[in-house]
Amino acid sequence: MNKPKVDHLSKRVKDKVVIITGGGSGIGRATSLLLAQHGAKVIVSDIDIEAAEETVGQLRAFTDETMCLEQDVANHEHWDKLLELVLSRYGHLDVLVNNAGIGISGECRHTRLEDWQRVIDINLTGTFLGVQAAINAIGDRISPNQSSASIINISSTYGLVGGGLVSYSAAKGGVTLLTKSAAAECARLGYNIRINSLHPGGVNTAMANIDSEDPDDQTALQEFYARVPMGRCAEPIEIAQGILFLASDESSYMTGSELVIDGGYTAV
Amino acid sequence: MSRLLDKVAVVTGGGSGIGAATCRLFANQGAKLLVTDIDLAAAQTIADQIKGQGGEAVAMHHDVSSESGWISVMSCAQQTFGKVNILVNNAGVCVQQDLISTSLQDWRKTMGVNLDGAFIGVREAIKSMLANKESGSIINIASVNGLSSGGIEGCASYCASKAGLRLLTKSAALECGRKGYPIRVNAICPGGVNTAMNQMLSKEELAAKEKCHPVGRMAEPVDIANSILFLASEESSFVTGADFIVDGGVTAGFVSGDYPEMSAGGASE
Repeated sequence: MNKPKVDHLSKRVKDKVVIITGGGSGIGRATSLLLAQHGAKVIVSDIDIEAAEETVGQLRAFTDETMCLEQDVANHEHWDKLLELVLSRYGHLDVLVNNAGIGISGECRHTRLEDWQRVIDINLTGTFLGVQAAINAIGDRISPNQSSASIINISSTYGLVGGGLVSYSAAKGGVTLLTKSAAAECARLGYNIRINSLHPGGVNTAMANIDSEDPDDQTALQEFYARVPMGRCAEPIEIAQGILFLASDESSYMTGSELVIDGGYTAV
Repeated sequence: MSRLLDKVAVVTGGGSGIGAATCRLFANQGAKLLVTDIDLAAAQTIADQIKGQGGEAVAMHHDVSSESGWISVMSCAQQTFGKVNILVNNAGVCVQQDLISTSLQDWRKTMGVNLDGAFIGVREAIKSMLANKESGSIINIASVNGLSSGGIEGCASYCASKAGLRLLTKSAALECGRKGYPIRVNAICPGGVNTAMNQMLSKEELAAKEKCHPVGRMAEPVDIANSILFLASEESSFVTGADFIVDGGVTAGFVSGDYPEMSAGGASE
């Protein structure tokens, strides 16, 4: 695996070809904007194509090198189509951010099998399909910009500790160990691909799905914040900055690792 | 880019290895440096290099296990630069010896530098940062040997000190968060790094150590310095009490490929 060649005077992910799933909103949109501002060519995928188009519209304010695609991450044919499109347009792939995910969940004894399966399909199987597609697309090839490729899987603090969201935690815990196994495999094969997981705590996005009018939701939210040492949730940009670090060559020696951005939630 | 513009950083053990790489990187990003080391000449060399390139840096002799040493360092930072924003508790020692031949004095020497030193540093830095009324970031350099011995024998005191440092980090982060202090405290756990600390290893031991890193090499100091920069900067504004493992995959799992293959139907015989 290559030694670091970091030029801090230039854009931190200049000319890297980046796929961001779930790029139409929340962490995905903030990441698309931040990486594009740092010189990346960003491909935004989302199951909601209108949301993806809106993100790309925002990116076009400062770059033409962006595009979007409708994608169900749990569908492997969609991954084939996405990779084919990216490779035919850009010739290679540098970074994949497996960000798409859903948050429906609840306690074990009330979880219906179909809800469990939907969460596992999108959050875990979708990530697996993405990791597999990216490794097959990148393999042992060296990127034209000579740096290592990076796959970033968005897990959660609930991929590290339990917390009353049984299917979500099971899926995100799976993402944590999928990441380590795939990272060890790539390193063993001598592939120049780093794979890490990122674990946000509470983030101010639509997934939090808080009804500001509902006093029960407000109470639940206040109780959650009371458990976060920093006493607040993260803004999407604070997660995007961690993704930028993992996407850039600054994290050249990190693979199979966990980047926890949770305001101290799991430190307690 | 100036990711640390006008920030003041204290880096212990700044005269060599990870500390020196961190000082250079921080200076490139606009920080003013107080480079401390038990070896003043080494710290002075780094400070002079930074000044030679137009940066601001001061070197100071510093035994991190001494309480009065820390008070002098913090007051020097205050007098020279007017504040402290960043502390990198990097100074550390590793003495390889079997547990049964480790005297209490040997044990205390390792704890004195690796754990007492970091504790006093965290305490004094929090005081200085609160006085400045600016946000602060403290980064403790632990080790993957603070998670597991990694199969290396003869490092009991080192492993124990680094494990302690990880939980000192989390406890300090919790306290700062709960009290509403604008100070984040995090740890980095490097795997093997190409520094003087590995000079005690024989060629064979070094080759074995490189081989146990899935990426096939040890880290260069700048690999670690880049993670320290992320934690020092405002980019990591929601990161506190975290442990960043920067180990080339050592803790991710199987390395050599000689583990048993499993067929789709279950484990093979």
